[in-house]
Amino acid sequence: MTELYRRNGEMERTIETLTDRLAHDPFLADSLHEVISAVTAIRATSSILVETEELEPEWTARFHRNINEDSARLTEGAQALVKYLEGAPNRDAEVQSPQDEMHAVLAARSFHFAELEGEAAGPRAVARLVQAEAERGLSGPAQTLLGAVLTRYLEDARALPMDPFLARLRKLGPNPARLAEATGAGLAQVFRRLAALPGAEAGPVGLVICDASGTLIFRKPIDGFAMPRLAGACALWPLYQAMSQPLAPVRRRVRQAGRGGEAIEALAVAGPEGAGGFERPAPVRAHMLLLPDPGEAHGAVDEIGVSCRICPLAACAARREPSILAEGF
Amino acid sequence: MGKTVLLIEDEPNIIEAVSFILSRDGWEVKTHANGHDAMDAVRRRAPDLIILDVMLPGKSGFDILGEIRGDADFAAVPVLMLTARGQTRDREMAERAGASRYMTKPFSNADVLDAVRALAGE
Repeated sequence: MTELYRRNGEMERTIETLTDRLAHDPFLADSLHEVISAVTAIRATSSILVETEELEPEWTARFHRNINEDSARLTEGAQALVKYLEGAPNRDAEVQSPQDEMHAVLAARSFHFAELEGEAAGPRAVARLVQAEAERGLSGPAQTLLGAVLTRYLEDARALPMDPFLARLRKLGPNPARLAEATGAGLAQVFRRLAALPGAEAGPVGLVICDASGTLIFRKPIDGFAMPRLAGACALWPLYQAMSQPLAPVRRRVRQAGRGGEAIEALAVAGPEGAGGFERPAPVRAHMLLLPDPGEAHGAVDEIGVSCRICPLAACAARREPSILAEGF
Repeated sequence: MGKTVLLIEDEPNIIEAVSFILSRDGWEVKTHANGHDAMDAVRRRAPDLIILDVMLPGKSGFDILGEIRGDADFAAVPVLMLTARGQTRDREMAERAGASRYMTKPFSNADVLDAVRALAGE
């Protein structure tokens, strides 16, 4: 019993270390939830056994049985977690992909760059921002990604200058279709512009962009919607539905199954980026804007997932691999 | 007559352990294991204190807390929230939703007793 208590303590310390990483990794968050539940039950039960004087034999037997169950569950859970961590690349906080580095810069600025707003802003402002990050240690590949993202930001800011755009937003509400109609811009550009406004002006706005392979190349998070870091997102996302029918916008109320989260509104559209040529067509990209739930009046809520490995949805035609939640835990 | 605590949690062995500890401390413990009809359970049991897990099948603990706080009969009942996620975001969401107190799993039995006693004394 003492040994079990000590091992439980070690497990708790492991959990504390991993907790910091949860915010960025939904796989880890869901697998760990199972392990934590087992640890919590074992801790509470074993201290009852250790601390309660004159515990009735029926209770003692019952609590012994519970600990036995939970420790089996903990063993399976810990093994599944180790298998997952070993198999997953770039889990170490020190080893970041260039995409992670680029997103960290954007997140640190809340996805808004005042330097790129206003008529005076130009490519030099982009170069200065990238240079400043390079001096703080941003890697070469991440500088390239940041340069590309900020150049697109600059183009968007020129096409839809902030003050008139905000005035329209106040008048029309966060309605991308009407904003696009009023400004003559494309939906994808309006999505990006909404996601680049200061939070105080536009409220919470999330945005995901994927390329034709489904890889998430841009992620601006929003509360209540988890996103895997690169590939392997849920195929039920409206983002991918839009990708299968370019130029036909999709609007859905969605909720990620098993996360205890709230519903959210997802608006998605896919289309070619750039003009393309006769040798090679323009690449297609899909954008998905995420807004707070508009409420019951806007239709039923679709259950979607984060990624198959951690998804509890049982009967799903889009599933591509079994969930470790069902198997390992 | 003891005071009543309603424990809304979906892990059977956690329910059993926490119920045991609290009943030994003089509480009458009622339990409920899912999110869908948790608010019905609150109305039926009319507890003096509620312990609410954040991750429940059917409905999020935050939504249930919102319903509890939105009901004039229960707006003032102390609610202790439990979560397995140690993220600051959860803590902020719990505070915003009106939790009286917040506890991260795994917790010790002494933590539960202290929290419950402190809430009961307020």
